[in-house]
Amino acid sequence: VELNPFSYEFHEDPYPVYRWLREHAPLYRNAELDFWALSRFRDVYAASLDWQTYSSAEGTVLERLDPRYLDQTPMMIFLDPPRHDRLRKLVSRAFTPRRVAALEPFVRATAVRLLEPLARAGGGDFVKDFSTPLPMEVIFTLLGVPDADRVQLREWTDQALDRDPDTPALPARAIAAMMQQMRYWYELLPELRRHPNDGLICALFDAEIETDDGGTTRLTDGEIIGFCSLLGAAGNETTTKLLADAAVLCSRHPDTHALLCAEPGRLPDAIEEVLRFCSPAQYNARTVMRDVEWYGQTVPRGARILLLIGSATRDEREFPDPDRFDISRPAPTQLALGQGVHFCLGASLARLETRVALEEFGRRFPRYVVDESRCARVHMSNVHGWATVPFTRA
Amino acid sequence: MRLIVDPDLCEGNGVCEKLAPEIFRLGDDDQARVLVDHPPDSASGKVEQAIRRCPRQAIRLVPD
Repeated sequence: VELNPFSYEFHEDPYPVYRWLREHAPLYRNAELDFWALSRFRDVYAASLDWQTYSSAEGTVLERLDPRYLDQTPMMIFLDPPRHDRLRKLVSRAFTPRRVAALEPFVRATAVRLLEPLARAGGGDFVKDFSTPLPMEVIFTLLGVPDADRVQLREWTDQALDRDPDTPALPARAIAAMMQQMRYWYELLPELRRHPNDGLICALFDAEIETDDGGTTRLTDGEIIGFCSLLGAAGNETTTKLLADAAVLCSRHPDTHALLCAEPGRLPDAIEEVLRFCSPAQYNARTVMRDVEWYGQTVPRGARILLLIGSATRDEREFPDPDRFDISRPAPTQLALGQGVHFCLGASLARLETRVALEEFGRRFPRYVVDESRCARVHMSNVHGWATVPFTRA
Repeated sequence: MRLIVDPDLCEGNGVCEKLAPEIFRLGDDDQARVLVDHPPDSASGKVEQAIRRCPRQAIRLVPD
């Protein structure tokens, strides 16, 4: 059994591969693609917490990112403490559960606006018409990105993450999309300095960050663009996948959908189960900073290792009957959103968006079916989920 | 051992308060605080859960 995160066949159903890895190769080595992987819950959990040993500084996907690009627009997801912490502190207040809760009326109004045409038509494409535009409007409103630019910007994000079958080489279309996106941000900043709005980008113009000698300094444009690029992508991609996974699972389990429509108070637990059952982020890559021992083998300093979240959340050692979707499970220790210094900054926002979206969706579609024969997967590196989910009222 | 919440790490997720409301309280500033810094033995299970499940790993037991 081979683990190739770029295999399109693997994207269709990664879970049998993960099960085999947990059972037979809890420390897995892929010599051809030159990486190691941990797949059991305990191991992924422990390594996620140990940032001193498992560094993010060379990127968190398997494919090699251009170090110049990481340098020019530093992103906290690709940094270790203490620099990671200094950057994160500048934005973390904007994403606390309390601050995010205040966004609920806006999120609900946006969800309703997007759902009304679908309700009139009796269905549509859950991804294209709903789970894509909703998080897009929310994160770009938070950032203060002009309305007219949002669709193009999000399409570039999709293209930048799109991968060819079986290879970690970045496709030309992905590189082109990254460049166009960067150019866009570099042109937007002076525009926003001239005409500020109340978004997070403008707040960063005045933010001060600690320096190594204990002083403070303003952020560089590159650092601000690092935030734009990271929060823009993270706020779009994974919530889109989470919502669509929920829609497909509830179509497969009409009893669960009926229960959630009748008792929307159970949605938060259901969302945790969707996250466990199909984690939108399937792995985080790290670079090993010292020789480490796992299962009698040594992973040498400098090696790349994948922490397979998508496998950990299906580990039979942690979750009884892990391949059964069951919203009545006791709330799990959640790994889908990471754990420790890199814990998903947008976790509360993603949970809020998903809950509100599913409440409003359920109101308009108490019974519906997804046509799985016409569903299609995305082919990204560590993000897993649906590109197309056609559904109709039943 | 004394129970602390590291203010540099806490981002107000509130997992600790849900698990052990008699030990942790989430303030208006989105920071969790310890209400009882020497929790009784009867609460040790809950405290261990809170330490383990804090998404930011902000809770620790430190020497007195």
